[in-house]
Amino acid sequence: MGLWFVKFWNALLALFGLRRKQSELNEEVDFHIEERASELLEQGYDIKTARDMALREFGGIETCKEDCRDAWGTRFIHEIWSDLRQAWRQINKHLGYSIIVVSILSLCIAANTSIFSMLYNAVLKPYPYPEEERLVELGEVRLKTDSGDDILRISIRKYLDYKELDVFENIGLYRFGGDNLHFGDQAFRVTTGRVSPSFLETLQVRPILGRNFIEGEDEEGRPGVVILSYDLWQTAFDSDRGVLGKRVDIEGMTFEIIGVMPASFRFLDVDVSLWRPHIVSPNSKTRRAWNANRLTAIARLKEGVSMEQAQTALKVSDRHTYETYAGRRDFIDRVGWGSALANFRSYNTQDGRDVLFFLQASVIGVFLIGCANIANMVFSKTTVRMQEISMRISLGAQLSRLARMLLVEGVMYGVIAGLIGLVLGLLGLEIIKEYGLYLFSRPESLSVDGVSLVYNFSLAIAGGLAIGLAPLLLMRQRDLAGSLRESGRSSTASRSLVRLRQVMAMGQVALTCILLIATGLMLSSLKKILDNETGFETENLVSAMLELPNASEPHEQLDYGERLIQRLSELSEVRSVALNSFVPFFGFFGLSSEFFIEGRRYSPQNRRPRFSFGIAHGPIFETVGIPLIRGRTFTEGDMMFDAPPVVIIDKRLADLYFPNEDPIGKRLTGDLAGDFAASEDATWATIVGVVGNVKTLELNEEGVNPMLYMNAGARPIQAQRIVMRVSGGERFNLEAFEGKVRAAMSEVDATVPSTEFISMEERIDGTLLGRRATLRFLAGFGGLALLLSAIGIYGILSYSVTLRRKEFGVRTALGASRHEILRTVLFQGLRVTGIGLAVGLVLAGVVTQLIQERLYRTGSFDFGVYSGVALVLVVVAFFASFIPALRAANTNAASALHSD
Amino acid sequence: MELKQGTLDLLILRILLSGKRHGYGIVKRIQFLSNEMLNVGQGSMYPALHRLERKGWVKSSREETEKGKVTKFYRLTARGRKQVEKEKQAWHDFISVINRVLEEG
Repeated sequence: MGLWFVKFWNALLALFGLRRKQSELNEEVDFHIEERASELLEQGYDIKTARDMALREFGGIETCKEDCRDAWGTRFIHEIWSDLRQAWRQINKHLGYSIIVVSILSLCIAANTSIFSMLYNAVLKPYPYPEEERLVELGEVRLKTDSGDDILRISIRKYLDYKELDVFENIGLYRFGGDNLHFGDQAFRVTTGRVSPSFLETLQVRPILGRNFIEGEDEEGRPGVVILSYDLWQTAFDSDRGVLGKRVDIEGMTFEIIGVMPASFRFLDVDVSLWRPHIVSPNSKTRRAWNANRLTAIARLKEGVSMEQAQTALKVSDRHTYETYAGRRDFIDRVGWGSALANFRSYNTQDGRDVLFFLQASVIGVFLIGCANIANMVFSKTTVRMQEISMRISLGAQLSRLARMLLVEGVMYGVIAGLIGLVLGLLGLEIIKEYGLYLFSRPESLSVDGVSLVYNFSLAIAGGLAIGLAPLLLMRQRDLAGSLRESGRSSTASRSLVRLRQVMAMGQVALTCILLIATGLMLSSLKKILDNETGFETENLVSAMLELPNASEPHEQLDYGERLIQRLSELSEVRSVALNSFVPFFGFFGLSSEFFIEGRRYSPQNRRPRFSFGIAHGPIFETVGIPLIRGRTFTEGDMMFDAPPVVIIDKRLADLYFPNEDPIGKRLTGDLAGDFAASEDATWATIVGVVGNVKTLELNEEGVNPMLYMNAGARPIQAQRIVMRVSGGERFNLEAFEGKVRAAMSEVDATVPSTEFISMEERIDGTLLGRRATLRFLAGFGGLALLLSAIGIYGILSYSVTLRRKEFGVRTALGASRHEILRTVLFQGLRVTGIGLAVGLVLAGVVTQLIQERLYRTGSFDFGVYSGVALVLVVVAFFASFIPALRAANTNAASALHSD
Repeated sequence: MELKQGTLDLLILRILLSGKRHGYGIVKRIQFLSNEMLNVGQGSMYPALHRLERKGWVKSSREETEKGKVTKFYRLTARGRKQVEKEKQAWHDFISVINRVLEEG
């Protein structure tokens, strides 16, 4: 192998000088002959005789040149070149066949290349930080709850503890948030990364302009500093290099710009515009704050420290905390809170990873099915070509040379298919960008890069080698010399080939079956998800988020809401408008809390309930269309500043906590003293109504907290969503409407920015995009697999019918009816399908376990799906078998017996 | 008289010892020195030259002849010079061995 490679390399190098050498050789030989001829001319011969004599004396010119090329060591290249030309001739000679082979192969390669690019970019590709394999996500998880919630969170106190350990080089805290940014007379709503000063150092990334944060800049009372993202620097500051030292206003406070990040810097694909220190209060450093797990952390392991070593160090630290701090023991015993770490990349790419791997496995399946078809075609063609090959061998062609020729031909098919596959794969990526974005988190980096390219051509070469090797398999099986004498058909060797091909067809059916079942299960899940009620009227509902500056006073917030509702309801398109900190499918602003119901006794065994809640301003239930079940909805009086607190609960809350009583008039509070009592000066809110349940984030959510709504008059809030019921209809245009709303908003207060307006239907669709995309891909691959399998079954049956033509002829002559022969062939096809199907159904049960988590109210053994897929495959196989069967039945006895 | 197998290389190297020559020049020289007794296959001269060049014993360059035509000239390299000595010695040893066998056999 090594030697072969060196030879090839030398030969290739020589190739570069080859043309020059060739022409110099010609010159040399011409010179020789001319010299000799002119000598002879001087001796008195005439020109023609002199030239002839010179040529004769020289001997064979071509042999001489051939020998020279041998001396250069480039004969190998000449042979490869002639093999390539030979292969190209073969491909052109059987153009129809070639087109089909290349089409199947390139389609399969394209599907693989695009899916692999997606998988690679989303999951496998290293993050662009130095030695990113040493980066870990660090924090604490609940060990005892089996909620499946394994999110790592960390408190400042714990962070300080971890910093003491000698397994981490650096630890960086991070948390994303939103800020209102003012610079000059410009106002922006931006995403902010609030980080510890060590954050960028942990990633080993430095600003391109200015400096990094330094230790201590996260302490309370220190002057605010901020690092801009490259994008914000470009758009808001016109790439001004003098931006350092300038001051901006963030949430009403002054910050100094100290740096600009590189354009290439991305962190977890969040579009962060500003980085600023996460301010640490002295309180949060105390032991009492151990449980305040609200942050996330990334750490860099020290050189040579393994995950296991780090985990051990964390355990020791946990133990220490447990033993030295009694206040934490109860908490740890209850939820089993414990430190953990995970590889940073795999932790942050786990969403959709199972689906991507499943899709990747599916396309590899499709590739195998395609290869089986191609092998089938190659076998059929080789049988026909056998005589030509035998002829070459009997005329003295070396077997090794012949094998090389076939391999070169196969690889040429592969390379052509690889190139076409690459182009189609790039198109496929565009389709993925259109439909598949939601499957993973790093869409903008989606491209075919080096690794995908290698994958693409590895498949191409593998396919090519299969094409080249298949005939060799055949040649090995057959007596080559005998082939010439025989007719080249109907030998027993062909029969064993039929068996091989039947096994391949069974494999095709099995793989197709698995793919179709996966598709069916996903489809059934989606249908069941769509069957869920939202709990409100989704049509003609529009929402956007708005956030008042952090520094604004409660009465200012309420006043702003009042004026905004007033102004917006004057718009002709608006039927009804309200503000709420919770809007279905848009979620909450982290508002969920433990409550205390008046008159109830709570103890460690009977803990007080946790409710999610929304602060509502305006006719929220009327606007969103949530039905009132008992009592009343909010009144205008509830929205006055300092109005008495009233709550409206949802049916879930009423059923769970007031099962046999009327909740109206009951009181509850969120002001708690200790674990089991309300504080003495607690503000009690009276329940005035019960409304229907609504979905909060997804159609298929389960086990969400009960929900209550509180009046903004009693408790104004800074961050809210606008929600509007609009007239809708043909003439309604969301973009134009958005423009009108923004104009109205800036009349009310120009400094309050809002996010994009999204219609509720679009939002709900958005929550299903990932599922729909997965389903589309699976359905596409399943369909392709089905088509290829049908072709496969058709292929082996028509081949076998051709082989058995004599037999059918004899049987017809002996009086077999058309019916009987038809049945024989159909049975053969259905037997192949049946065995493949049985294998496929069993394997599907195993394989679909992989997507178990993605299934909704559909078991991975769903009877309907399994039987449906079986039926489809049998029907398709029946039709694929029917045409060859008909041909067999129509065998003319006389002509069949006379053939050959 | 036909050239014995393997002796062409030696002759070429020996002739180039006296200076650079082109392929035809080497042929002429061999014929002249052997009084036209040796019949060099002219077509086999070039593969031999190219082989020697690949082994690094001679090197070539395109130059003008006295008559103003351009062709390849060959000259010995330092390694080539040593090779001439080695091969000459080997040839003499060979001849003396053959002679001894012929005379005493």
